[in-house]
Amino acid sequence: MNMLEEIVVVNIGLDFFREELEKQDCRVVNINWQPPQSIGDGALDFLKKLRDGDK
Amino acid sequence: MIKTIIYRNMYQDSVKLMLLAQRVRELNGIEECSAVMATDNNMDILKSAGLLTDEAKEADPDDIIVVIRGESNEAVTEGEIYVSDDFAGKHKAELSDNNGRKINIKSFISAKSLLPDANLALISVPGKYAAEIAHKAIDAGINAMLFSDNVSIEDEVRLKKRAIENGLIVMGPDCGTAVISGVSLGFGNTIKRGDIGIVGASGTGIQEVITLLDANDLGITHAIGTGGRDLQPAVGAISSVRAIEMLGEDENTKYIVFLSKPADESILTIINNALVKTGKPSVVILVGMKSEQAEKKDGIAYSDTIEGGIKILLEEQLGISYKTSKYTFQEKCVKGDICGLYSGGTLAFEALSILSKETDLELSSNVIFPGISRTSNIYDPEGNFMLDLGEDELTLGRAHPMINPSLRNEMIENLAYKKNASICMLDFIIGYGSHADPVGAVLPYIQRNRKIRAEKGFEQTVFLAHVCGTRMDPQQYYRQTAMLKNTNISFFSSNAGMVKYGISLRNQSV
Repeated sequence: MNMLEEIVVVNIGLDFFREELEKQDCRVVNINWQPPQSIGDGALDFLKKLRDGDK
Repeated sequence: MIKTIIYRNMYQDSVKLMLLAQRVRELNGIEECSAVMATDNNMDILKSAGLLTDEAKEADPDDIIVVIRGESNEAVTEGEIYVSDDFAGKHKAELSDNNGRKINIKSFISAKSLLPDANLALISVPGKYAAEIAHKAIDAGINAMLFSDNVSIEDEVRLKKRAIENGLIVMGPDCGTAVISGVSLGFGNTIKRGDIGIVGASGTGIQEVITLLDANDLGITHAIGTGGRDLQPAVGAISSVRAIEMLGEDENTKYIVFLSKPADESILTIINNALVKTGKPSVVILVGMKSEQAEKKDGIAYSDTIEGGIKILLEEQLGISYKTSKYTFQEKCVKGDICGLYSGGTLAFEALSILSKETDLELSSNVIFPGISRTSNIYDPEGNFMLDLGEDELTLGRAHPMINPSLRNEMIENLAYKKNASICMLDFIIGYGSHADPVGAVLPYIQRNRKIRAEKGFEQTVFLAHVCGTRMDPQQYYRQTAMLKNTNISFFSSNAGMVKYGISLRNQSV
């Protein structure tokens, strides 16, 4: 559907915007987004050693 | 009693954390609460607030720090329980299926299975992740509005080109405002449906256009934001042209308003050609352009101010008189400094443009503007200055001033100690996304400013206000202006009207 006829939203990020859209009776669905987990230097070194066969 | 709680490897966006801290502060017995991601900037903010405890220093950037100070152990424990419940989702409605099971949506595929006709992804994740998500939206055949900033210009071009190839549009990055099919996205206003379409590379610029149209009892079809960089030569106005084409094809749109800051001549030619191609009467507003450039090209009208552009649209294209309004208290003439504490970037830019054309005041600003020097200390500015409080340097670790007025409130209080501060101009932006009561949140600080100045024997600062928003916005336009009136603050239906009144107060004193 053309969004200039009716807008239907997928919200990713600020949940606050979903709430604001719902107040306007806009159809909206929220994607539950989390940033990729960072990995510590120690764990990274350990994984590299595993990969290189150096335990 | 102070307590620090670290939530390891957990992410929540800054607005959500700020609102959570605000709710905790409202609990009985709580004196202070701060909830932030443990980034270096936020650590500095905690330190300046006296909340950087030893435990907080141990947190990593991927952790959330919550610091609660209260009158008693019980109060602090109550606050901690509230925070834990909030993170567990107990304070919000969850999506659930017909059997009451919670639905956890993690991809566009599952989003589209729930809403097959989804057609816009509103993306507000940290910038470094935003482009990848927007590409996924395009893969799913969905337009994207990138509220996120800090997306590289290379990514922006790639995204916009891919969108066009797929018959879609990418609005942004850094696109804060749109109104599509009657729905406000990001920071937007409610206005009746009409036959005027808007394309804008500026969020508050779009909001000001909507404000002036509403004040003249007109409505819009759509307002499509493109992001501030769209008119840079590297991007080549890709989304602006697409948006103009969309309004050209939209049979309900009879008139088009295009709005931006000045751009390269070659880019303006692209915009002009796209507007001519629609065959619809159009106005181009280039806020801050040289007045002598504001002439018609190929039948397209040009203006250097937002109010000027809307006046052309109404009087030359629609054939109706332009109405403007103000409510003034006939202030005395002043000799001292004039300042603007803006939450809307384009409104600050427009103020600089008018002041630099109509006065010879020595001005400073944190907004880049030809011939205007940089304000040396943006937290404690002196002289005549126009500040955009929504600039990145002032929003590190805190929400935008349209949501969180605390920085502006502090500055209003500080102005009380500046003997020469004669005029202070304020914009109050209402609409979806903005603070629930922007005027009400600032008035106690204006009253405090007045009290301090009276005690010090200083002349009172004249506060001027512009409420940017419509009569249908949730904050209630007339309630906001009534509060201004009750506090003896002159207010104006346009930013340009406020700035020109400020200039007139000063000029009369010369």
